[in-house]
Amino acid sequence: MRVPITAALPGLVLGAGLALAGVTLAPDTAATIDSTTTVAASGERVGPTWHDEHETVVGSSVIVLESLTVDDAEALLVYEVLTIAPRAGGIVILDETGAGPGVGVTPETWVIETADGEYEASGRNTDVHEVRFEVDDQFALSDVTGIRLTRYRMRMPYSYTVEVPPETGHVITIDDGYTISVDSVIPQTTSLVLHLGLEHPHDLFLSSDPDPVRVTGVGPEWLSATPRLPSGVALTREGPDVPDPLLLRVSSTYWITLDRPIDMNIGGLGLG
Amino acid sequence: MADDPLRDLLSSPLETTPRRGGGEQHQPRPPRGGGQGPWLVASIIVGALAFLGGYVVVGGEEAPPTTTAASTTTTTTMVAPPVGLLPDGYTALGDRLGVKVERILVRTDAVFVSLSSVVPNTLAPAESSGFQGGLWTLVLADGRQIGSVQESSDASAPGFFSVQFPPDGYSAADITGIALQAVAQRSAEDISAEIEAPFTIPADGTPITATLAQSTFFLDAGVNLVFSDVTLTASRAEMSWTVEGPDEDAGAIVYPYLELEMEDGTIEAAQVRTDDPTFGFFFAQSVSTRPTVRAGSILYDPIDPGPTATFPTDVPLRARFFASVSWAVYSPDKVMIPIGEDVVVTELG
Repeated sequence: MRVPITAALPGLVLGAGLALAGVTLAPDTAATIDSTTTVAASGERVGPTWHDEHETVVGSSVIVLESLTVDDAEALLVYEVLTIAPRAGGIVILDETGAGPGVGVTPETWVIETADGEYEASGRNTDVHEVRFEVDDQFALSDVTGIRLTRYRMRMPYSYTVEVPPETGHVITIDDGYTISVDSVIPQTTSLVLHLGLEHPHDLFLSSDPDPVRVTGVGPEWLSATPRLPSGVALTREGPDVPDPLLLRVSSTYWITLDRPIDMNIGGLGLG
Repeated sequence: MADDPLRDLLSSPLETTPRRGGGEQHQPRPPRGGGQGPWLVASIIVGALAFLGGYVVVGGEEAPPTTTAASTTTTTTMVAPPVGLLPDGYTALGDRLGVKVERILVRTDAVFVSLSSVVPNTLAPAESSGFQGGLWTLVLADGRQIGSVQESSDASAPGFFSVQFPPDGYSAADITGIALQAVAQRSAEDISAEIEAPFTIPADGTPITATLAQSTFFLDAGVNLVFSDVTLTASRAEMSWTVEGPDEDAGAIVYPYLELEMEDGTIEAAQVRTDDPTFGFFFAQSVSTRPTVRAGSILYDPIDPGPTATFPTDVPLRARFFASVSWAVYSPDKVMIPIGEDVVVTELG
């Protein structure tokens, strides 16, 4: 009899597969809740909030302004972004700190309104939940009449198949600023190697995010996908044949920009 | 939906699992000699735990639900009343979800409508499992309705999903709304079947055909999963599956596994390749949810490394087939989601 590794190896693979299948199906947590919509006598929605009485809903999140302080010629706004989205299905890979990808909304540009004018500023990147405003000597917290979010981003998922002709140099545009190019098609004796370039907007605000687009082949003939620098992927397909068209699956979760002004709830800042 | 996903996750495919909705019963697996069964079971559990050790299902941030303090309370009648309040602009889908169209992307090959989703504010995010999927139509100003192709969701974009529609000469300005026509009900099950009779794979590469003792599995009302015969050569095994039955909207995802056993009890596993390889996710932040489909093909390779690896040849073999199957059926519903004035539109080409 051979060593049991012949059973253990496939078992490991199958176990991982079963785990993948199992966790893909998000469990439905049972809860019995009254199906009543509560409205005020005036007809306006009132009442409970998701996380904080001074929150502002932005997409599938709420933003809570935590503090606004002034030091020298700089005002610092610190805020929190909290999800009000339902439990997500699927699987994520944690970073070294054990954190997941976080909320699917991130603020970017802001305006502080005062009686004398407005001050604009932009956040550094998606991970930093504070924004610094250059202000003049006349600026005082007591003069702040409002804070407006003028631009924010939402991380939207797209997953689909595309047909691509196997022609070196062919480029398809999958979204505004996002392209997939066929860099080379290399038939070999027993396999086909396909080099794809993945271009996306160069955006300092998103610099802390990894490559947001991934591509695999559709069909069991595709053997592997390997990242290429600076941005791309090498796909390997069994056999020297070159399918025409190539059928590829594209999955992405890049940030979409929304220029929609939203007046923030500043009641929790204690501005007086 | 499985009653206990963790149990399903960690259970061995060698176990007979309870079926949903009755129908044909699993082929019970006969007791086997060779002493490798426990190793297989243990390795499956280790594999599952290793996988789960590296990855987690994303949950919403826990938050205690707050209580309402409205001045008066009235009950409003809606197509799908939510359990609580939704933000302005959101439409209730069922009783624990609100959705809003955020973006329309029009390309020459496809049109995508992306939505955000929120829980009503009597629920904590973790109390709603989110939108399980549905069948949609795109409603155009000229009265046309375009059926959806598929949906996209991803754990790294919590709260958002996109619905894909085929292009048909319309622009974003022509779209007046999208209508949910049916909601998905998802289920999962492990299945297994023996190959009918012992067989021998010729060393010269001549293909042989082996038949599963049970090739049709009842999944749901009007939904059967049917597997083809297995064609084997020394270096390759192939089979395919289809979803059959009168429910034409139903679809499945199949994670298969094939095991060959020699007379002395030695087990040879086959390495699996399917239509939708998941190897790409090792370089990504997450694994996108996979759409259910009506058919699929499966290739099996000898698991031993090397280009000349073969299955055992010219010796009698028995074989067993396992698969973890998830599927979706749809229940009719009717909810119209309007296109708000603040929807972001991107039109390419």
